[in-house]
Amino acid sequence: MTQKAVILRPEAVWEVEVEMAFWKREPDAHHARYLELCSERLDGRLDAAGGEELDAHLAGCAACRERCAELGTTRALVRALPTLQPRRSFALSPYAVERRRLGSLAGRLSRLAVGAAAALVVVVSSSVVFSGPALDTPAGGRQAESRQTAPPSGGDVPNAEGQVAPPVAVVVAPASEAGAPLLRPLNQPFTGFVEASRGLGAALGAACLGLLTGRWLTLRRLRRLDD
Amino acid sequence: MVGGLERTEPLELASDAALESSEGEAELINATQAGDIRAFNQLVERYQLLAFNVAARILGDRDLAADAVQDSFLSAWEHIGSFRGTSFRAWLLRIVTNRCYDRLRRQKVRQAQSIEDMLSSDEGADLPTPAEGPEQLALRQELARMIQRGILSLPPDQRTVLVLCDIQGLSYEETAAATGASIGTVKSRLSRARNKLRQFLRGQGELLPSRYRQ
Repeated sequence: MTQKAVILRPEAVWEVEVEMAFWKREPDAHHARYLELCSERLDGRLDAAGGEELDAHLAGCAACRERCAELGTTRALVRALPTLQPRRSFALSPYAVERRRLGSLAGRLSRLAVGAAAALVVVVSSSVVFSGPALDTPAGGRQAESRQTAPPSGGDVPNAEGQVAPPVAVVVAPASEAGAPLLRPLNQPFTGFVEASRGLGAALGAACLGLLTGRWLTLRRLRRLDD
Repeated sequence: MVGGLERTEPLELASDAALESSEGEAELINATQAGDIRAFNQLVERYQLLAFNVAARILGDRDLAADAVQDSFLSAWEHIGSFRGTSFRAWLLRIVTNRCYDRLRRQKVRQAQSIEDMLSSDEGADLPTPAEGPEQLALRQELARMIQRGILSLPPDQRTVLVLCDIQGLSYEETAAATGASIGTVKSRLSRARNKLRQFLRGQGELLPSRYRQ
């Protein structure tokens, strides 16, 4: 079997030999449990029942006896490592504390500003999505205008003289900068939402600005502190 | 002991009676919680050597360790109001080990070089004793470096438990409190860490005590 393996794949034989050597020397799961008991005994934390179990196993297992002895030596070597001396004291100065406080504050303000900006983006996007065509844009104005002149649908029926009543449910706002009138149909279903979004957006924008200003002031104080 | 290690004191601070006792510590903690930075600095003086050694052994880099320890004390100062435990040492060490984990995650690339820097500058920087010749001193220093390399070859959770239990001499209970693990987990990690270190040392040869030589 080994000969065949050598012919077919010499490196595989080497791998097998290495693995066999490993398993000869290192414990399997059953023996590993006794190493754990050994470890506890080294710390003086093994109870009587565990001690008896360990002793009974060690009496018949030379490999585990050796491993336990090595474990004790390992522990002793680690415990004998020298103490490392720091090159400076870590006592806190009022400067270090204030610097840390300002740094943390600047970080918090940054995170809040980012959060406010993200919320602002969400509010504006949802406002655009739910409001349909933007009413305060020239395109929106033109659309609203075309709705004003289009033949009535639904409730707009000719009166007794056969004239069609103009759509009354439209408020004509002052002309926008682009020249198109700002129209806001009273029966627009999301008008309230759009208004609320605008209010919320303005508040978030102001908060964002305030937070960024606060952060800038904090960083300025930090720089002055460093100077 | 082996290889001239018997004259090395195993971390005085860890076994120091002043450290173990909480005499006056409660007052210092109360004063710190009231905003007294001088009281906090007395706690810093008491624990900085311990904190630095834990961080240095876990990180394998004295500069990183110093940063982690400074950061830990600042963090402890900021959050001392939330301290309700019975062991300030375990609470502080939990902060230190968390800071070390943060840095290990960030500094993986640097580590290999840093280990050598730390080992060459720290281990056995002392002079030989009259009974110990230069050659023995060199061997002792090399052995200490090898053990530190072995410690750094362990996974971080096992390394931390080994450092706290075996180098700093913390009990299982304190180690559990400092790492946020159960006592059973601490026992298991410690056993695995010792066993891996044993295997590492077995592979090293010449410098090791005769028990490890093939």
